[in-house]
Amino acid sequence: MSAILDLRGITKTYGTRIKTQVLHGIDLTVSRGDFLAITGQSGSGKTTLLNIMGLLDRSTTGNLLVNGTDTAGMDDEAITALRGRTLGFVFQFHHLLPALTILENVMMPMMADKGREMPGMRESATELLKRVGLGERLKYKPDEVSGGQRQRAAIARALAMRPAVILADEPTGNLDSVSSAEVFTLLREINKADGTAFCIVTHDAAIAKTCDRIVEIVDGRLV
Amino acid sequence: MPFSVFIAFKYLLDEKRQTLFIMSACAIGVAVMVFLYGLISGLQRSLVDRTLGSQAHIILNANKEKPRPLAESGNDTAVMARVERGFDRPQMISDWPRRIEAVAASSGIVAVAPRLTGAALLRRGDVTRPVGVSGIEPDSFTTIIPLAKSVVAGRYDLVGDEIFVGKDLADDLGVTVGDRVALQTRGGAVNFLISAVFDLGNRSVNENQVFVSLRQAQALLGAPGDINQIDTRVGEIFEAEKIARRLEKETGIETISWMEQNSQLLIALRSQSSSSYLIQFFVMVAVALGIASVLVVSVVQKRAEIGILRAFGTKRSVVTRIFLIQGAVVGLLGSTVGCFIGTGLAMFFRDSAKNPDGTPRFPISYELSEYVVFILIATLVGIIAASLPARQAARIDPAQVVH
Ligand SMILES: Nc1ncnc2c1ncn2[C@@H]1O[C@H](COP(=O)(O)OP(=O)(O)OP(=O)(O)O)[C@@H](O)[C@H]1O
Ligand SMILES: [Mg+2]
Repeated sequence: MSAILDLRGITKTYGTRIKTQVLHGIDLTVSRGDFLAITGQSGSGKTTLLNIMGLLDRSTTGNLLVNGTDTAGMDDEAITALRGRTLGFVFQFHHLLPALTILENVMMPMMADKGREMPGMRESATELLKRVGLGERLKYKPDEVSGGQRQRAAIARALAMRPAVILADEPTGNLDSVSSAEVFTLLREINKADGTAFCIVTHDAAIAKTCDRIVEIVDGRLV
Repeated sequence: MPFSVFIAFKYLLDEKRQTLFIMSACAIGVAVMVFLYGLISGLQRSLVDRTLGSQAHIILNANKEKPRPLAESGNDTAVMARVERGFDRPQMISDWPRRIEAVAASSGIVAVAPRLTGAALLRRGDVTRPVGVSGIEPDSFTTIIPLAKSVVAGRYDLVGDEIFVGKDLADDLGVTVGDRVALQTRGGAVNFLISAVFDLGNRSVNENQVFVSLRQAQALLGAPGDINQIDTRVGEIFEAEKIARRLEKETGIETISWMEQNSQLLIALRSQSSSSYLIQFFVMVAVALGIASVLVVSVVQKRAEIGILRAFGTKRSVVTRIFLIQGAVVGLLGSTVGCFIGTGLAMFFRDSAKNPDGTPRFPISYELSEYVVFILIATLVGIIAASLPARQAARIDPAQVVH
């Protein structure tokens, strides 16, 4: 099966005067249905790697192929469109837009893609929210629901464009253990039901163990 | 609704207090502009109206000597022109009925009247006064200068030896309608009967001008059948100078516009206008800075949100638009409110500054098109003010702000 994301010799060096090389040649592929844990010590470069995989940042050297196409030559607009349609994100902090309702937050990626609200968007966002157990909270603002609910809304938003891969950077880092387990179960269900690939950065070894694959960053390399 | 408009409105509505704050700033700025504009243009209109109330827009004059502007006493502003040529027989316009037809047909001209001007001494008993004599056709003349409307006593008609005298001259000589006065020239003295006393709102004219029928003037000034001046009225008063130059070329008769005669007044009006534009400009700069600074803060506060929008597929150009739209909406709504406030202020001012007779001192009024211009300017200012924060927002790099 061909890889959705194919990282070849990715390096990342921060800074121009004082250079910090964080990643030293990463090779990694993510395919449909993958459920991958990325671990490593604080400061090891997990977020850096996820940003590059998520087309949020560019590598210093190396190539990132998305569905077999190299992204090196693409301009910002093409990258933005590709990112919006292929990738979904869940962050440690929910980052829902406080001015929008939960439903509008989930519609946001769809509207951004088409440039306006289209028929059916509202319904499919409602479906996604029902699926994460927030069918009763559509009209609520993010600050009117609990932390666990917010994070589930953020997951629904990540699913909005039916992405092939969802990148989650410590998605349960801000949650208590009960909510945390709920969220993980949800991610697993989505993975099983839709075949959506997940790359999850986590510090929690117990959680990592439940994943299909675990990669660890040590000294900027994967082990 | 485009996505950018949707988000822009969500932001404006979410930060109601902040939105209200910058909209008020915009409204106040526009109110000042509207008020100032109304005041200045009303003032200028009344000055110009008063000037043109006793003066033809364009004069074609056969005399070689150019009329010199005459200052009103105690006032630097030129208010009228008079040709003083002693008792010499003035130069005449030949073939004038045809000439008048040609001038009337010329574009931009809405009314034409013949006139014979000269000088005489007006005598009443022992008192004499030097006056300017104008021979006119009452019907055509009043289409140039509203003399018929300016009659304060008597009737607007010149039959036989009838004469119109100005209010100040009449007061000075102690005469009124029905009294007789004599006009004396080198050729002798002729008696006239006062049929009307007029008030053209201009002291100099009221004191120094008398009007008789064209035929009487021709006899009195020794120019039978002749005129030496064609008075005209134009449609667009500020086009007068341009039209005058063209008429001069077309007719070969020396032509002078009210604008040339009142160049001092026009310079004063122009510098008044430019200082008011300058004030309006700086008011809008202040408004722009207010809008810009609030939006800059808003961009800083929303860095993470903008990063999220970008991460989920929002293009840079759309992020830019989200903030430009906020500036435009603030400008549009703020200025609409400002137009109402400014008009209210102007009307209040107009109603509180009245002449003794109860008429407003300033004829302040606004056209719909003027409001449209103010609203367009303010909207543009809003967009320009938002362009800096918008560019700042578009530069936000999602990898740096979202964790
Ligand atoms: N924008 C940046 N400029 C310079 N250095 C950076 C930048 N971002 C990250 N770094 C450095 O790169 C290294 C890796 O950072 P990164 O955030 O990827 O680590 P991480 O594994 O996600 O850590 P954590 O588990 O604490 O989130 C760190 O040493 C950090 O100081
Ligand atoms: Mg991290």
